[in-house]
Amino acid sequence: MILAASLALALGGPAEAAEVPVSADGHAINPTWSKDGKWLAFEVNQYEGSVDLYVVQVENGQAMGSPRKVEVPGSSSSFASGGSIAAGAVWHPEGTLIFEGSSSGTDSRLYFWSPGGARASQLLSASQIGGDLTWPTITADGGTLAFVSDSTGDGDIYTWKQATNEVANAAKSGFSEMAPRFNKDGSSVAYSRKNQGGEDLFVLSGGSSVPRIGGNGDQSRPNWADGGAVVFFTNERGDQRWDIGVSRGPGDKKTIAKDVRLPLRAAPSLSDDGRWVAWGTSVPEKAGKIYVTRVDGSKTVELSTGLVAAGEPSLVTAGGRTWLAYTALPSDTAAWRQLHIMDITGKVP
Amino acid sequence: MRSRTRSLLCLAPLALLLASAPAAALSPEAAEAEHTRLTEEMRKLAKRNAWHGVEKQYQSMLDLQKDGVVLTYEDHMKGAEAARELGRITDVYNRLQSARVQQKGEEVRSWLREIESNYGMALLVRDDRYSGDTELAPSAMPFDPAKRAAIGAAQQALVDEGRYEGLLPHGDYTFGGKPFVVVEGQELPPEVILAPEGSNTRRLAQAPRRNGLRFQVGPGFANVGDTYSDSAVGFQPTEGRSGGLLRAALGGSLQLGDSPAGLMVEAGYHGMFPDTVAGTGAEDVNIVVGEGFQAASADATARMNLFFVQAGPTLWLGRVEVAAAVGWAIGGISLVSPVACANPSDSASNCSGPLTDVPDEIGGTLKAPGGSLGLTWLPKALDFKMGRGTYGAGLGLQGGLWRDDARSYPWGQLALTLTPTTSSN
Repeated sequence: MILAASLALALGGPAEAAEVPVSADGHAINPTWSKDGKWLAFEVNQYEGSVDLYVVQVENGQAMGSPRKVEVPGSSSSFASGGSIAAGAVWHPEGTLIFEGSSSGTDSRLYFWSPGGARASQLLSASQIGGDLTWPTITADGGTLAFVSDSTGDGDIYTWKQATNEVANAAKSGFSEMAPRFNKDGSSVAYSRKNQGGEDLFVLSGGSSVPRIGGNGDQSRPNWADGGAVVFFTNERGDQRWDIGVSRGPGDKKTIAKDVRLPLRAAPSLSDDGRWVAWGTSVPEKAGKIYVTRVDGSKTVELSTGLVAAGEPSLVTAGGRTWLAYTALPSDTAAWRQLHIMDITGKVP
Repeated sequence: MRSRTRSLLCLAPLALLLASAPAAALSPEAAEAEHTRLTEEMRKLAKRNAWHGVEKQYQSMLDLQKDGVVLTYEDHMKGAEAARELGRITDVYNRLQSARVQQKGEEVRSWLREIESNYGMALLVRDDRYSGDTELAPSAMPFDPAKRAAIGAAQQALVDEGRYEGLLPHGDYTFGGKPFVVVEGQELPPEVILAPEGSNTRRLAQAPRRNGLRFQVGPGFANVGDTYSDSAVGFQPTEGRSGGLLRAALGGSLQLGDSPAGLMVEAGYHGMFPDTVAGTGAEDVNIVVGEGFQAASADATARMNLFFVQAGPTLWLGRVEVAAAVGWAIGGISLVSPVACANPSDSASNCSGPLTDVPDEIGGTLKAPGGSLGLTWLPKALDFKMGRGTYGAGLGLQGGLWRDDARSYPWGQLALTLTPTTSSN
C-alpha cells in the first residue's frame, strides 16, 4: 500500500523528450543505458518470433545517428529464415555489451559486443557451459558475470569470473532459478525461484541461499536498492495486477507502487544512487505518465510524456544529468511503441 | 602377392601427393554453385557457433578463387568472425582488409579501427634449448572473448611451435618472467627471445629451429651390377640385373646452431623388385655325370632386401633441401642366372649350369657401404604442423650406390619426403 505521505507532483505539461528514430517495424522495448549514459541498448519486437537488439549513441539526450542493429552470428543472410533473438542486454562498466541471443533452432547463448567495433562474439563457449544461457548480470567492477543455464534441465545460476575464466554453479536446486542480480559490491545475488506455480525471492550470499520474500503469486525480477534493500515486481494481488515491492530483510515486504505496467523483460529500474525506482502505470487514465518513487515509499514524482501507454523506464545519471529512457505509443491508434529519452535532472530530488 | 604389395606401396607416395594437390579446376558455373553451397554452410555453422567449421568453409572458398569465384564482403566477414573466435587476430585483420575491398562500409572500417586501437604486434620466441619458465601471462585476463582467444592462441602457439609473431591485445605481459608491454602506436613491436646465454637471438627471432623427424618413401630403380672383372671365381654369375626399387627411410634432422645447415640420420629399407627374364633360367635337374642334361625353361631373377643406416649433412637453400649421406647396408641378395646353353652335348657351347660346376645361383647376405645424394623441393603450401614443429612435404630425387667386393649396386629414387622446416623458409 502506497504510504499516505507519498506526494504526487503533477507537472504542468508533458516533459520535453526526444524520440529515438527506429526505422524497423516492431515495439521498442527494454531500453538499457550504459553506465556512462553514452549508449542506449533496446529491443525491437514484432511478436513474430524475432527480437532484434539495437544500440544507439546518445549525446545530451539526443540520439546520434541511426540505431545500429547488433546481430547474433549467423542470423543475417539471404538464406536466413528469421527467428533470431537478441535481448536482455546488460552493459559492462567498460562500455561493452553482453546480451543473450539465439538463431532459429539454436540454443540461447551469451554474446559480447563492443560499440563501434566488430560483430558480436560468443562470450562463453559450449565447452565452458552448455544449454540455454539467459539473464546475464554483471558486478559493478565488471569482474564477475552471473547468468542462468538450463544445462541440468532446470535453470541454475552460474557465475563466470574474468580473472580465472572459470564458470561455477552458484545456486543449484531442484527448482528453476532466474533473474539474478548482483548487489553493489558484488557480494550477494538476488534472484527468483519457481516454487509451486509462483516465484519467490532468494538472496545468495557467502555460498548460501536464503529465502527473502515469498507469498501469493510471483515475486520477480529483483534489483538492489540503497542500503541493501531489494526492489521487485509482485502480483500477489492477482495475476495481472502488478506492484513494486521492497524488502529490507528476510520476510520483510512493503508495497511502494501499485498497478504497475510490467516491463516485458526488465527488473525495476533504479536511479544510480539506488533511492528511486521508475515505473509506468497500467491504469488507463494515467497511462501516459511515468512515475519515479522513492524506495522508502515517501515520495513519488509524476512525469507526463504526452504519449500513450508509457512504460519500460530506464534511468541513468551521467555528466551531472539524469536521463530517463522509456517507450510509449505515439497515439491510441499507433501500431508500435517508440523509444524516447527525457532529461529529468532536477525533477527527481 | 608380395610383389603386388610392393607395387601398391610404390604408388603410395604418388597417391599422397595427388591427394594434397589442388582439385581439378571447376567450370565457372560449377564454381559459383559450390560458392553458394559453402555460403549456406558457413551461415548454418556460424549460427551454431561452430567456428572451426566456418573456418574450413572459408578456406574452401579461398580455393574457389582460382576458378574465378569472387568472395563477397559477407564471406570475408564470416571468415573474420571465425578467425576471431579461434584467436587468430592477424587473420581477422587480413580478412577485414579483403572485405573492405568488396565494400567500404562503416562496419568493416570500425572493426579495423577497433583492432588497430586495441592490439599490437609482438614477437615471442622460445628456443628448444631454453630450460627456464616459458609461460606467457597477461597481467589481467581481458573480458573481451576475442582478446582472451588471441592470448590463448598465442600461448598455444608458444607451446606447439615455440614461437608467436602476431597481434596481442594491449596490456602488460610476462613471457618466461620477462615483462613486456603492448601499447598503441608503438614504433617497434616488443621482442622477447628465451634462449640460452650466447645464442644468436637475432637468428632465433627470424626462424625457428629445424629439428624433428624425417621420412622418405618412394619408388625408383635399382641395379645389381656386373661382377667386377677382377673378382674371384665363385661370384658368378657375372651378369647384372636391374629392377624396380622400393626404398623407405625414417630418421631425424637436427639444425646446426642457427645456420641453414644440419645433420640427418636415418634407417630404412632398400628393396629391389625381382627382375624376371622369362624362359632362360635353370631348374633343378637330374644330373648324371657324363650324360647331357636338358635345361628347362625357368625365370632368372634377382632380388635384394637390404636394411641400411646412413647419416650426413643437410643444407637448406630456400625451399630446397640438399642432403648427402654415407652409410651401411646389410641384407639378403639372390641372383639366379640364365642357363647359357640347352644342350650340353654341344661342346662348342658356352654353358653354365650344374653340368659345368659353375654356380648358376648365388644368394646370401650382402654387406656394403655406400653413399647417397638427394635434392628435395618442399613447397611452402604443403607445410603442416605436427607436434611442436613445422614440417615440409615434397618430392625429391635421390640417388646413391652400395658397393661390395663383387659388384656395385647403384640406385635412383623419386621420393616423397617429410622433413622439419621453418616458417622463414
